Amino acid sequence: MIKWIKRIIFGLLSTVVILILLFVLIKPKSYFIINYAIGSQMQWFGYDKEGNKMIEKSIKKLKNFSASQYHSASVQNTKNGNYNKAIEYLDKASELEPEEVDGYYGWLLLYYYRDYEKALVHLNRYDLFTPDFDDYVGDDHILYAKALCYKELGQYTKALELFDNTIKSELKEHDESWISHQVYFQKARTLHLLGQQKKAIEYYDKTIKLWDKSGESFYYKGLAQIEINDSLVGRKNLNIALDLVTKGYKTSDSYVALFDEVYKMEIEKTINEL
Amino acid sequence: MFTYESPRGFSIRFLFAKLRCLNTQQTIYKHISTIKKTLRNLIYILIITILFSCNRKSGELDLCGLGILKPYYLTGLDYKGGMYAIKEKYKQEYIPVKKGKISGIVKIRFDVNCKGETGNFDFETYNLKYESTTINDSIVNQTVLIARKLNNWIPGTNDDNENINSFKFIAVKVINGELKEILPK
Repeated sequence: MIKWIKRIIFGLLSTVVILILLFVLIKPKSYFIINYAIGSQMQWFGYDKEGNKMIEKSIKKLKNFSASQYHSASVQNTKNGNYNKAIEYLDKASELEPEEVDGYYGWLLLYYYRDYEKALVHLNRYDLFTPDFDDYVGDDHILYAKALCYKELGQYTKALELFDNTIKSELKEHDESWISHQVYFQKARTLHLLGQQKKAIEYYDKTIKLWDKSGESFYYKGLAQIEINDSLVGRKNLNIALDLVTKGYKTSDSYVALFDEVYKMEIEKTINEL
Repeated sequence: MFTYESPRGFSIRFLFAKLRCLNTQQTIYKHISTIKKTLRNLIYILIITILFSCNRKSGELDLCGLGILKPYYLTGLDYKGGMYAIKEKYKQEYIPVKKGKISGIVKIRFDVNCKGETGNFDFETYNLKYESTTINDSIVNQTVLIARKLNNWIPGTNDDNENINSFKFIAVKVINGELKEILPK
């Protein structure tokens, strides 16, 4: 009896081995789907070159790759800094379905690539697909994302106009508490960069009203106060900022540094240099 | 000692005995022991294969445990002083370059082990359209060397708050030989 059990097990194992060999040799469509999935997983563990080779091979064989599939192939490449592959795939996705991809593409170029001009191309095109509707890209209102591009390009007046339009758009259907504190913070930063410290302080205060632990708002508010010779209060706010940031209260992201993000070392240096 | 009793009281030992019309406990243990040895050997072969096929440039950096790496954004890998300190280091040490292909992006990829030590450095260069290209050697050498000098990494951790290995990249955007941006965080 044992002999028969052994034979059955051996037979089953042999069949499995033969099927695997045939699968690898014939390479049906499912082989490349599995290959693609394994490639993505390898990239996740940091084996970029090996993973990308498998993905590329699969894309070549799996014809009619969709926009969303190109999109997903680009994501891990952006996260791992393989900019050539990430952009190649996103360009293909955007070519196939710009109305689906351009919002994400513009937002990505803004935050992950700091490529503001190209980001505006995609954000503007995305916005045009729905002229009567204010879209969201990532977690951002599209007008806010565009405003950030203009701010980083140094076009502060245009940026301020768009920050205001963002606030107006949000207030159409919601109250002020709905607005992200970052919108007020970035408007304050733009005013500050324009040298309008008093107006900037007003908007830093609005940010703090929405989130009283915004370390970055206390920091820049303190700087603005010092710039207009209100040094005592300014210094006090820098110390509040240092305390908040030391406790971990600041706006940040797991993947990228944010615009005007503050760091403990930066605040300490500013305080020491006063 | 294993008994191999099922929840309903059915015994594998009993099954073997019935099948062979024997009550040879030793034979049963012999089979179980062979299976266990085979499984153990298979696991060893699998681990050795994975380590030999996947391990990058072993020797340059002692990776902790089995050498498994996780992405920086999941482990919470950080640098003392954050991106501010990294940018300051680049600002202090980078010397602008005037000749050759002086615009593009240098992506520096490296591993940080559970002790915060770095190694296995690798780099790729792209133009401002994100196509692979070569850029001035001085830009590449400087940016990679500065990355190698960053030695205040705070290792990433797992769910049990134990320090683990992470992989990380820094992308340095250079325009007309001047530092423009350092990404991602």
